Amino acid sequence: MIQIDNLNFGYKKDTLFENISLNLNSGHIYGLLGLNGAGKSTFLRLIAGLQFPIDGKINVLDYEPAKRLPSFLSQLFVLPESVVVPDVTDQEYINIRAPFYTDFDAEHMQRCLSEFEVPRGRKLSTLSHGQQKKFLLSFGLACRSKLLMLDEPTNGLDIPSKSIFRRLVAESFTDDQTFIISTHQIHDLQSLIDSIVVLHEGNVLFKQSIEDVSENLRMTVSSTKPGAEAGLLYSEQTIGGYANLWQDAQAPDAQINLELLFKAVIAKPETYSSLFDKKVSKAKILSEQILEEKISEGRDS
Amino acid sequence: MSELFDLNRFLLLVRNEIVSNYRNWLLTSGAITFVVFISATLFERGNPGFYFNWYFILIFVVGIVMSSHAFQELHDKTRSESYLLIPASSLEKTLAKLFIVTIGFIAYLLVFHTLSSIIIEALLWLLVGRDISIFSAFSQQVWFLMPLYLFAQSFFFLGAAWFKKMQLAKTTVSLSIVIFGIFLLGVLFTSILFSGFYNDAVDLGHAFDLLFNLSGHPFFWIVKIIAVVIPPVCWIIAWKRVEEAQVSDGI
Repeated sequence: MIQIDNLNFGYKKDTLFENISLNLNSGHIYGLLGLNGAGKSTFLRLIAGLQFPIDGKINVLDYEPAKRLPSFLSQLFVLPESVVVPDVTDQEYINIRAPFYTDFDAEHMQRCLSEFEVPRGRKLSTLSHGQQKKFLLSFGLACRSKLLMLDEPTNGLDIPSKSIFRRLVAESFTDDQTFIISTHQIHDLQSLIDSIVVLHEGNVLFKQSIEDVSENLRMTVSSTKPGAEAGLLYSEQTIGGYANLWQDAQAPDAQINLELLFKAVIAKPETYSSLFDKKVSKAKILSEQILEEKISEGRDS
Repeated sequence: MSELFDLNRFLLLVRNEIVSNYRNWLLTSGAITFVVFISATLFERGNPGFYFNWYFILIFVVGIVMSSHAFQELHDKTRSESYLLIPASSLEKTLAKLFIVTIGFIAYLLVFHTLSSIIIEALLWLLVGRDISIFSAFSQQVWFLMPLYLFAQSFFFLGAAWFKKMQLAKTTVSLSIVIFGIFLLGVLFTSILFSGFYNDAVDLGHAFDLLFNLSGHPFFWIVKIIAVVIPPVCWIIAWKRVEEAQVSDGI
C-alpha cells in the first residue's frame, strides 16, 4: 500500500526526515504518534502528495503521490487537523464533491451524519468546528477510499462523538483499506488502532502491531517504585503509584497503555527496536525449523 | 479515463466553482447595478456610450481583479489542502479557473450588463420619463474588447498562480517593469537601427515615433503574432505552477 524508501525532507535548512524507510500494508489502522513538531502532519502530506520529498521515493497505491493524478486522488481522503469548509450547504457540498469519488456511498454518508447528529440543510460555514469536522469525517468515510488519513480527528469532538467516531471508523473499515490516524489523544483511539508508528527526531522510531506489543510487553501499576529488576523497561510516577512497563515474552494478551509505551519508546529508542527485532528473529527461526521438519517428514515418507 | 484531461471532471470542477461562488457573484452584481444606477441618474443624459463605457470598466477592472484572485485557494494555507486533493488533474483545475474568468465571466457580464441596463432604464423611464437606451451586447465595439481583455487578463491569471500574496499589486508592478524595459530596449534598438536617417545622432524622439507608427509594417505583424501567442504561454505557465504547488506551511 505505502512504500517509503530513504525519504529526506526538510524546511529550508531544517531537516525534518532523514533517510526514512517504511512499509505500511492494507488492512490496518495505523496510529501515527510523535511529539509536537515531530512531523506527523508533514508525513501525511508527503504521502498525500501535498508536499514533495527532497530525496528518496514514496510509492502509494502504486502511484507517485507528488504527481497528484486524479485516479490516485480519488482513492485517497485526508481530514486535516484544522478543517475549512467552503461557503456551501451540506447537500451542495455532497453534490459537488461526491462525483469525484467513484465508490462514494451516499447511504453511508447519511448514516454517519445522523449518528453524529450533524444539523442538516445549513451552510457548512455556520456549523461549529466540531460539527464541520464530523461532516467532513462522514464524507471521508463515505468515500470508501483505499487510503484514509486523519490528522488529530478527535480534536474538537465532544465526548459522545468520540465513541461514535470510533464505532463508525471501525464499522467502515474493510481489509482492502488503510487508515492512518495521527493523534496526541492516544486514549481516544487506543481501542481502534491495530498498529503504531512513532516518529521521533526525523526517524521512524518504532513500528509494531498492537498484537506484537501485547505479546511482548506487560504493564503493571505498583505503589512503590520498582528497583532495577530484570525486564523492567520503563517506570513513571502516576497518580497513586508507579506505572511500569516490562519485557515479558510470556505476557498475557492484555491491553497495553499506549501512552506509557509511547513515553517509554521516546525515552529509550534503541531498547525497543532491538526488542522486537529479536522477536522477529525468534519467529523466523521457529518458522524455519517447522519448514525443515516438514521437509524431512516429506523425505521420510 | 485520461489522467491529464477528462471533460466530465472538468465540468464537475466548473460546477464546483459556480456553486461555491455564485452567492458572492450575485452580491457583487447587485452592488455594481446600484452604482451604475446612481451613475446613470447623474451622468447618463446625452451620453450614448454610457453603458459601453461601463462595460469597458467592468470587463477590465472586475475581470482583472477576478483573474488575479483565481487561485486564492492555492495560496491559502487553510484551503490549499482541500483544493489540491480534489481528484482532478492540475490541467483540469487550471482550465476550470481559466474558463470561469474568461468565457464564463464575459458571458455573465454580457447578460448581467444587458439586464441591469434594461432595469435601470425602465426605472429611469418610470421615475423621470427619460428616453430608453439600453446596452447592446452585439455591437462591434463590445466584441472588439474581448480579445484585448483575454490578452490583458492572461498576465494577471499567471500572476494569480505565481504570487502567493498581493497578486494584483505584484503583477501590476512586474508588468510595469517589463513593459518599461521593453519600451527602453525598443527605443534603443530603433534609434540605433535607424540612426543614419537622423543626422547620425541617436534621436530618441524620432525613434519613439517610429516605434508607434508601424501599421502596415512587417514588424506590426510580428507584434500581432506575439499578442496571440502570449496569452496561451501565460496560461501554460500558470498550469505548470499549479502542478508544482505544495502545501508548505511549516512544521
